[in-house]
Amino acid sequence: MKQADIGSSLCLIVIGSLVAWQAQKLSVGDYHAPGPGFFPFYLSLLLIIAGIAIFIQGLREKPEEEEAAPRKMRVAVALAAIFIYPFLLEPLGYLLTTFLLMLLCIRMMLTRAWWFAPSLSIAISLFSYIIFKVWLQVLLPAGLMGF
Amino acid sequence: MDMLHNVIYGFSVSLMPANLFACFIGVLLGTAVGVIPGLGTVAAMSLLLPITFKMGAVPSVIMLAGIFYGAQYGGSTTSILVNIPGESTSVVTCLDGYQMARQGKAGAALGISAFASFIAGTISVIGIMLLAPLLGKLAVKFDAPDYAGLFILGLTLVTYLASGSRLKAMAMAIIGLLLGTVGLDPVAGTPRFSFGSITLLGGFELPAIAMGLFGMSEVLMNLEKELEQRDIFTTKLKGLLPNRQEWRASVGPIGRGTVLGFFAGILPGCGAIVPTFLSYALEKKISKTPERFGHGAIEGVAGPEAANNAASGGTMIPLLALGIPPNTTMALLMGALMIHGLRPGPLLMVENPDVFWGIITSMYMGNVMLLILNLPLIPLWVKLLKIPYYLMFPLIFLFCIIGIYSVNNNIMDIVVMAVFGAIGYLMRKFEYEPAPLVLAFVLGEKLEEAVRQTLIFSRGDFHIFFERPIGATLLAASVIMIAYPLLSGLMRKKSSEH
Repeated sequence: MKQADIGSSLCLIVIGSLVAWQAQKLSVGDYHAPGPGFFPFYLSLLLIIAGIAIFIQGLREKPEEEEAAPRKMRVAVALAAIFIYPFLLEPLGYLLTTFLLMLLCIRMMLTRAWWFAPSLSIAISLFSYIIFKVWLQVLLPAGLMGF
Repeated sequence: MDMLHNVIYGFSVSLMPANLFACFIGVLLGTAVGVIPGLGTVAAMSLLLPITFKMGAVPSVIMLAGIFYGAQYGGSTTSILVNIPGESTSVVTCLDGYQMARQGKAGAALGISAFASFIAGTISVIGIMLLAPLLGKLAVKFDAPDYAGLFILGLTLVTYLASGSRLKAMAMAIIGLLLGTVGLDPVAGTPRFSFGSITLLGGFELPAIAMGLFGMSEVLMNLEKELEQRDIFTTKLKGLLPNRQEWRASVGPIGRGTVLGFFAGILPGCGAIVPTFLSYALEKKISKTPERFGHGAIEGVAGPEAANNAASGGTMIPLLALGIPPNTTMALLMGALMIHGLRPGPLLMVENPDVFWGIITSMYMGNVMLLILNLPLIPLWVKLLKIPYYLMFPLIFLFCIIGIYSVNNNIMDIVVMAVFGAIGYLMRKFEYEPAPLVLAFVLGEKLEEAVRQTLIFSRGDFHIFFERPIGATLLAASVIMIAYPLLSGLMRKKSSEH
């Protein structure tokens, strides 16, 4: 059994079933008059079949040795930061939010003198602000405090 | 003389200052992306996709194409100096290029790889000029059922040639097609899978998907690894111009690599990686002294470097002449063309000759720029390699965020990108390739339109797909490709049972 394949194929089957259920509501139509649900419905059936095939393949395959991934924490923190960032962007404004994101990312990767990561983050935030907002005139949110 | 007229017209477009500048920026960025390991061409092109919304169609595509072929030049620099491939297409260059560098011939290795790239790039541009219009003339006869066949063949090829499991590649292609159905139905205008959300009603956009699946997930994968100190050759580079003996050894490999790369590149799904391996194997096989390979043979640098550049030209043909992207890079270029309201395909050179001939001739200009840029700027590229990853990855994140936000000024786009970043990370972990998904997403809407139009036209008769010669041939090819592995698997089982 290859656990990665079993788990991921189950996901595919679930996704396929959900799509099939939703597509049915959209009027599938038939070959004569294919409706909006026609294409997604038959695709979802194909996806379920592919999922079952991967599942069976996974059952047959030998289990892979779990490799130790010591840095999973970093990935989790980085992902969480990217998800939170857009929700802070409008209340806090571009400069402050970006400073916080950069600070978190850099501090996560290395520990140096206390002033190193903050000053680098300030530099990146200001520099990108000048390039994108002032020079390229991208509309970046100003935030409640006006910057 | 028609051709000459077109070429002159093309140059009149690509030599316009704005286009020339776009080309320059493209090849410069491309080389930088190529030099930096861990930042792929596809990731870089997806990062820049939103920026091109604000530019015209011609300069956008010229710039994106420049990144693509520029990266082939840059990748070899890292392979030779650091023994890490800057791009997946320059893996082979590590074998002999790095050995040459260790023997103090780094200059000659860098020089020959730049010249080989230039020669191959130039010849492949001429190849495109000759071949694309011919294919295009054939494709003008295409109708809806033929297009359906063509898209299905393109998707089949991508799953067939996937480097991992074909089943998984197929599942990803189906998911890509399904993602393309979110939003308004192209035929009837009914909202699908929007669940009352305005963001979903508009459908997914290519930049969010591509940046998430390629850009962000790549960074997340790199975060898991331990940071390694790179060993860079810091000795002074001298003698970038190869001497006469080195030239004599390289001419044959460059010629063969060019032909091999160009034709392999035209095949959908093949891309620029496979030809480099083929070229290396070929040169080693026909060499009188194969034992030198792996110990600094200049032929082992010249052949594959020519092959990957010729291939990057060849892959433009299916996109420009038929409107099917043979790989992810071309899918992004196609996305850029479609965003600007252009329809890649046989009619492109008739309806928008400025785009078609402008892009092709700009590739010639780009190759000249790369040759001039590359040799003197190598010390600068080496400096780029010294940017630490703790600085690199927050910057890539930031660039993704600003890029995607600037498209619609909508923070929900950042969320969508982050979701695809997480999905892309999981996909890489579970060994699912993102390429078939993105390609299917780009083709999805057009495929659905073609299939539904055909069925409405034929009143539900499926025979129509097999009645037209072009469509039938394309579909038959796809069926054979899907059926062959299954059949050969069954046969093997039968014969082993006996």
